[in-house]
Amino acid sequence: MEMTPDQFKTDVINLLPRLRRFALSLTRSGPDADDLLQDACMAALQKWQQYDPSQPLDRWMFRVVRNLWISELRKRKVRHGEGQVDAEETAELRVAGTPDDTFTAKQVCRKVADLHADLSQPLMLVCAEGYSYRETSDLLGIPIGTVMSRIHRARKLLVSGLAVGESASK
Amino acid sequence: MIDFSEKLSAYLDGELDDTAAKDVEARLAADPAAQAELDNLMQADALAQEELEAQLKEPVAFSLAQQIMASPMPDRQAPRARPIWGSLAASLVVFALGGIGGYAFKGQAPAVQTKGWIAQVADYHAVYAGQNRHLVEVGADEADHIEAWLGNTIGASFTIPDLSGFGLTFQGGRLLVANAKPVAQLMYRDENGAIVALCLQSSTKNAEGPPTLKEQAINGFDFVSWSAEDADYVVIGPNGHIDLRAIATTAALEI
Repeated sequence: MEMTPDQFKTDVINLLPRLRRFALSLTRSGPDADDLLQDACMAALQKWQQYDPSQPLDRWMFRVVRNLWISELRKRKVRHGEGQVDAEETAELRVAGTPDDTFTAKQVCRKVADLHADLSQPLMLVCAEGYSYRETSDLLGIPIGTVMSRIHRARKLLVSGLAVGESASK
Repeated sequence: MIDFSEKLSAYLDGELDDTAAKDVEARLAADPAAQAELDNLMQADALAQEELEAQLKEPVAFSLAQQIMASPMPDRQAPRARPIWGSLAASLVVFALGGIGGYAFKGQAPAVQTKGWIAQVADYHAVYAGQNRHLVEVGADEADHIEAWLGNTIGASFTIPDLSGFGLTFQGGRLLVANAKPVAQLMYRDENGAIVALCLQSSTKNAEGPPTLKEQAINGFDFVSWSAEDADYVVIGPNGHIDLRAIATTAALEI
């Protein structure tokens, strides 16, 4: 199927709200998400020859967004004097602590935005984007079992936040 | 070994095979505590979905859509003169030199759009008219906000026309971009579900006198367009479906 540059641009613009939400789940910061989204869109326009129109554009764009974020995290880590970082490691870079730390610290999470990025990403992809565990695993580069356990942890944290909210309101 | 609690999450997501799902259902039927846990997980899910849905309504910088529309793209069939990563890096350098990325190309790169704004509106309509839940960005219950927001954004004030006399119910509005300029799109739905849109874009034509209606058909849609004062207008609907000319006449008087 042929696709014109205008069609590609229109489709990307139509995806912007969902792409920004995905960027937000990665960056946890509105300004960072906006910067990442902009870089990703410009990168996508430049490498649109690589996009296969028979495949869903959202999947392809999510991957562009995520790869750029990994690259940005790697640069930040190097800037902070931590030397070169392997791609495999960067994919699992932590903003602060680990999902397990977050979970065991019994942090109160009343919102998805309060969750650790590693927990909110798979939750967003499965609950909001309708991705399967397999698709989420492929996009995030983590095993399916990890997808399942992180989504479950995210829900449990939100449940605990709900419980705290209910007891506080009594 | 997956614990039962995790299995509940996978069950909720439809990720268990038939046998495992039946095991979970049997346990849920026999164990109130398990059912209570599933209820809690579903409640958490509802909370998450509500929050994530709300994120879709957060504004995306208009300048980004403008920049996308104005940015040149390499030819899809052209052989690449250098590896894609070299090309990508070069484009990123351009943005770095541009300072503020959101405005890097603004007013510099020639617009690649060669189609008129109505043809571009046709492209948008083809996409959005098929949407149901996400037909509009802002719903009809915020009509005042739509008038203020879109009016300020496109630089031409307007009043949302009442087209109920044609069986059309106002659904809400959306911001589009055509020829690197913002376009206000007002969406209506008839009783059969057909979508009719009224779009307007600011203009420097300063047309005076009664508007001249122009009819045309593009990509399976009918269009009736006109210019008046500081804006250009177009009504779009499915081919031969509704008397768009009458709708346009009413819209031109009320808007």
